[in-house]
Amino acid sequence: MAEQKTILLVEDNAQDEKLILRTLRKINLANDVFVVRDGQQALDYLFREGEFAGRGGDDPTVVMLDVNLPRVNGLEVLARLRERQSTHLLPIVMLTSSDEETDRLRSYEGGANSFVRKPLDFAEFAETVAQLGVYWLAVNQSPEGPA
Amino acid sequence: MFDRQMRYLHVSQRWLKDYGLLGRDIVGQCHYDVFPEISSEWREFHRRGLSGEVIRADADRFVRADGSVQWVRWEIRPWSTADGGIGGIVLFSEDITGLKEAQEEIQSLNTDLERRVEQRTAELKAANEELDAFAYAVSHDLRAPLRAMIGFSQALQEDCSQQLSEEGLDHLREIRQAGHKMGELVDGLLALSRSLRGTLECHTVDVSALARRLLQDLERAEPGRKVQWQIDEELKVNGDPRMVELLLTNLLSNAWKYSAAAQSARISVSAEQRDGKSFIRVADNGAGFDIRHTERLFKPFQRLHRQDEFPGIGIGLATVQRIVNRHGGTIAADGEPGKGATFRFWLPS
Repeated sequence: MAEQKTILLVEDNAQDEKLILRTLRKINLANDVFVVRDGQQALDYLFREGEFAGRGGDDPTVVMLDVNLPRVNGLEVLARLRERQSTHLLPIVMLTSSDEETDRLRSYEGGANSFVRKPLDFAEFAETVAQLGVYWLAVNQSPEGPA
Repeated sequence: MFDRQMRYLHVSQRWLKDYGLLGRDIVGQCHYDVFPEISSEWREFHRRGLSGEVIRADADRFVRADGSVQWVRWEIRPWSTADGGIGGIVLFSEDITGLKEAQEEIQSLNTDLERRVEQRTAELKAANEELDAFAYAVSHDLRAPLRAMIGFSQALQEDCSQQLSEEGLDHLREIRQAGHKMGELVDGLLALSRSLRGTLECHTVDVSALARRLLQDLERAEPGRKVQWQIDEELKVNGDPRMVELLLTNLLSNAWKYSAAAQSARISVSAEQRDGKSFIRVADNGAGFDIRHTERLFKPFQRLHRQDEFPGIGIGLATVQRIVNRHGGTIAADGEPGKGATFRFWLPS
């Protein structure tokens, strides 16, 4: 299995997206990121439906999913992904601005693999994003086993 | 008192007064002539009384000939003649309209009160939910633009530092610093609003262990500081664990912060008996404060120190006070400039 390891970033905030991509670029991971901007797009992408019907390529190695999203919010996306056989083991990292405990609990209850608060400080933010990228693309062994 | 033909044999003053018959002599007259409006139902009661039955009612509604409503407590009881036969009936009757009206008034006031309590509760619940939603929105929506401001300033500094003058770089630092400050304010506001939200789930909290952990955290965050701290064993309070943690975090990080300039900084957490209550006492030997300003100490956004002395946003003790209030406890502060500050709190068990 020599599949391309990719990240699906689900982020509606264009500035956060830019900052995340900038960081991933610095550690040479930016080419492996596909960005969608709301919950419905994320579901369509992963289920190959709607605008992504018949999309080629593999499933991403990890999904970075913002909690607050337009159309279908992050927690709902998480629930729908976990319902489907094809995505129920897909690694999902929840990203959020808040440190609301309810979000955290509901994310883990919904089967999220990680829950990460986007730090205010850019250095911290960059480090967090870099760690996430490296961890999920290089360190972690995916449910399908080593690539 | 009536005979078998329902003629009055005797009548009390009270009866005459209650039925508006004062001044009339009705003895000998038939009850049904005096009150032609008496219903067949009542005539039946009288008949049953005359055949030996005792009948009573505690509150009976009457509509008089003039349409007015009267509430009456009554009892019909046969009386016997010397030879054992029934001589007639005694009709005790009392006008309880006033009493009944008062009862109905109370009833209606109660119903009204219950309805208003329900309404207020619903309003309060709605307001709380609104506050929750607001705090949630604040935490998400205010942080995102801040992250962008701080992030892009830093990116600018990293990517374009060659093109920027020293002054330009300094401006960028100011922008970032302001962003961080705003971030602290947002977090402080959230902590404050969180201290007012949710229901309290009270358990016994091991204050000694909690204080030890918090002070160790503070030490780790600032390894350069040398602070002597001492915590009494077996300190316990009954409270919501998360709230108690927030309370102690605020008191201890204040003690930590304000003792920064002390010669040899000391912080203690101990028990103190006052007015028969067991207080927890958090004391430091730091900057202290003037007790004339104690009032302002617990108010949000009020500070007793300048930013260049001790940075802060003035939210910590306001949060502490709200937590103590929500538990129905008390908190007091004592201090002296340059000598230190002491906070004592008590939560009911």
